[in-house]
Amino acid sequence: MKAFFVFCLGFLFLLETRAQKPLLLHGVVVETNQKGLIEPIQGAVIHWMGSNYSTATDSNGTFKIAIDPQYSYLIVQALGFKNDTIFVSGNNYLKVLMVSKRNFEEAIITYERKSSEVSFIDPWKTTIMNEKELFKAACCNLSESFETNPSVDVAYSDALTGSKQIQMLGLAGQYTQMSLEQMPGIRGIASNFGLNYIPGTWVNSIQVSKGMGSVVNGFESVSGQINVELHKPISKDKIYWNAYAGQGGRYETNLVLAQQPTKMFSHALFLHTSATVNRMDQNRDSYLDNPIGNQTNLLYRIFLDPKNGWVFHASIQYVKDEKMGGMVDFKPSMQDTAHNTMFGTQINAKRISSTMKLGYVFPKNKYRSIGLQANGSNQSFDNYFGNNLYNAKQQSLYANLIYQDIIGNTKHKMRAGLSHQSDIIDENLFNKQAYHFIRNEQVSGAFAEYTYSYLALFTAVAGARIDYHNYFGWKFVPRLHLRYAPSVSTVFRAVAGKGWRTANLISENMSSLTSNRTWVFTNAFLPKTVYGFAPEEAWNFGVNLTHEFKINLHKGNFGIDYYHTIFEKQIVVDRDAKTNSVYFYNLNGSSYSRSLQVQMDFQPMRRFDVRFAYRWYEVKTQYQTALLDVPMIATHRWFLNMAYATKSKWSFDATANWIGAKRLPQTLDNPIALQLAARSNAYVLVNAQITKSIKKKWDVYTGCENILNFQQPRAILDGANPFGNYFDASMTWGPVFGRMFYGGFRFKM
Amino acid sequence: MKNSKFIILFIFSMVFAFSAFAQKSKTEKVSFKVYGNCGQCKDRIEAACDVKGIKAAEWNVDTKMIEVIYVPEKISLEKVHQLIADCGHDTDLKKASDAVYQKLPDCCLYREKPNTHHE
Repeated sequence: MKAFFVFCLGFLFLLETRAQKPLLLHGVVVETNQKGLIEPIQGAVIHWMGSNYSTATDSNGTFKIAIDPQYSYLIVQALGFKNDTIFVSGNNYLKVLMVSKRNFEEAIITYERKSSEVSFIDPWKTTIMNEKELFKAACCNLSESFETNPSVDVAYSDALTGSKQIQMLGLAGQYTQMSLEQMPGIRGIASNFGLNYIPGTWVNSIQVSKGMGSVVNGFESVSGQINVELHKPISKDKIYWNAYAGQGGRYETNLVLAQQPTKMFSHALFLHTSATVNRMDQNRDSYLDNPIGNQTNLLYRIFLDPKNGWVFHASIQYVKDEKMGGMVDFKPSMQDTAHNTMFGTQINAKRISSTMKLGYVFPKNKYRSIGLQANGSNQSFDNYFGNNLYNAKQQSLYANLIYQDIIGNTKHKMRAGLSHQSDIIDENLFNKQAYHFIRNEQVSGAFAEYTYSYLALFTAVAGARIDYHNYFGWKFVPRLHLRYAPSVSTVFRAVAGKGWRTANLISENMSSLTSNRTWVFTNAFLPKTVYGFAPEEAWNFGVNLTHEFKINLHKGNFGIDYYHTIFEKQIVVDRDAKTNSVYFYNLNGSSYSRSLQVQMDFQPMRRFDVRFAYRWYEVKTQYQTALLDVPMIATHRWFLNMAYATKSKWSFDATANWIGAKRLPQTLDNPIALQLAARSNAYVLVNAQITKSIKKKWDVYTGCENILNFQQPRAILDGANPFGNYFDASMTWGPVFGRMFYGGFRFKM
Repeated sequence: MKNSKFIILFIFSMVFAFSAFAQKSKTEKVSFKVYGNCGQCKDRIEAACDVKGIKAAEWNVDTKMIEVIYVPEKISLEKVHQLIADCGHDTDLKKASDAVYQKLPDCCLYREKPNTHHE
């Protein structure tokens, strides 16, 4: 018995030393002396914001500090220098350049890191994509940024509006929770379009995680979360300018200006304008491949940090997005529902939004903090698709109050708080008949989350929230995350939880309006419902394994994950019951998604990275007729990305995506000439890009998308009779636009 | 499905090509001490080893040991030491010239301030 006890103790000790040692953040703290040389600072004090453990730099200015999953802000203090707070993710070597108090320049932070990495510390499996990764493709907007990321699919929604939608775990974009700077805010009618309103060059990093998220961020996530961090006003680049031109007559320019006039105040202005001017019809179907139009996008943000425990961030954004598509010669003046002369589409969107974050860290109790985040937005759509009209307005408000503390010691942490969200949505739809939907959703909630961490070895996060919806009453959401790292290079994670959301049927299925399908609601105007329906509810379970390895000093990592989502309640969108209709009804039976992904990243040679992934999906729903595969989801997908950089700062990137066959909604009610096959063809998409960096300030790039020039045949069904019964532009499973060359530059100073 | 077989075949052939490529030339793995201080030193040392004949190099800030995988037919071990010395870092075989050493950033001046910090 005694021996057993000693053994256990020894084992624990072993685990402790084993787990503690490698998970350290290394770094160096330096200053620039009068001669302009870099010198280490001895005795600088380093601690995590909110933790009471601190360390100091040695005579060489170097330090090591244990990484704690709960903390992400590192505070560096040295006598005679300005204090510095650094946001740290990952365990990359950190260089901190401290600025003397006499000097008014700000601290410069340099990270040396991989372009895309998986955090080993988070209880969530999060893939962090930083700028380096985003630069691999000419991302015009966020939805295109995922071209080099195998976890997120980008799907074409229809052949007319040029809209792309993201999918995770084989589920449509609306089941993924989008947040900007850790704040959910892209909701309601904007949920599928919000990502188009963030230009790719504004983005500093993107965090992608599958499965349920934290209860702190709300009840809505089902398949995953995507968080976007924009450039910070305290960034080291004061000017960031880029311009892009593509073969399709697409022009874009972005300008980000950042300034830090005083130690406490910094601000940044983001400007974007883009236009698609050429009327392109590569596939000669007499419809534009991409709509023409323009977008204007402005964002202004401020950071206030008076260094007394309070921190305040605020931003305001304005977007105007106008797109016109349809027949090649269509002009808006020809829109005429009475005479049916020409078929055209228009999406005019306007959005004004504002966010703020207020945080306070208790000076006497560094691990206790309180934060308030709030946002408000006003979004409108003024759209038509031939004779289908859709106008909508949405006013949303959101507030989330979070209190964070430890229980006894730092092994036990908790977060709790209150939230409220309000969405007032007014929609006018004309599809064979006029519909007017007004709803006012008010959801108040309370949440609590407890985190237990045993060193770096084990973490458990248990959370729950309860919300009161003014139409649907009380809703309870439990979630659990487990993380176990048996060795430095291996991490297992498991997640289980529930999510719910009200479906925005019209905006989520806007692509179905690019057809002559008749929309059929069961009981559209039932009071205290949303289009006659209750919220969708789903459970999600997932496990994943990440393993890092080294072959001949070349690093690599391997990941495998499996997720299972089960819908308890869902609003089924049925395009199979009748070819020229869309039925909306409550799920009666089972609906689920199973997804398996295997990914390997490896560096076979210096400066040469290979990423390879395979994904398998099974997404089935009980329709009126049978349990069928959800249309437009490919069962198999392969992904290969190769990146090579030379010593002379040339970089070459190529991505190949093989997308398997997808089930198409049945077209058997049409005349034989207008029927489609039951399944689409498999196809390969290859993109490549060459970038040259010049003097660290300039990047010049050129590339080609869809090199193999694959275009979906018959992207529009019965395009000759756009007002006839069989017209359908929503059967899009592949690219409508063929090979496209582009070029551009980035300038940073 | 034809396409998918192609892709699988392509990937296998690539993996095979890589392994064949790796096996073609005989490599040797050595480990020796390189004097230096910090992460900047690490970058500099590893960049100096980024030449033909050296397959991979990794320097450990804590132990000051470098691991080098190289092809003896293409580069001599002495040359590897020389490359590292040329960028300003001493090895037990080759010393960096004072002129190069003096140009290193202050935090990297390992001769004056050797990093004795260990945990």
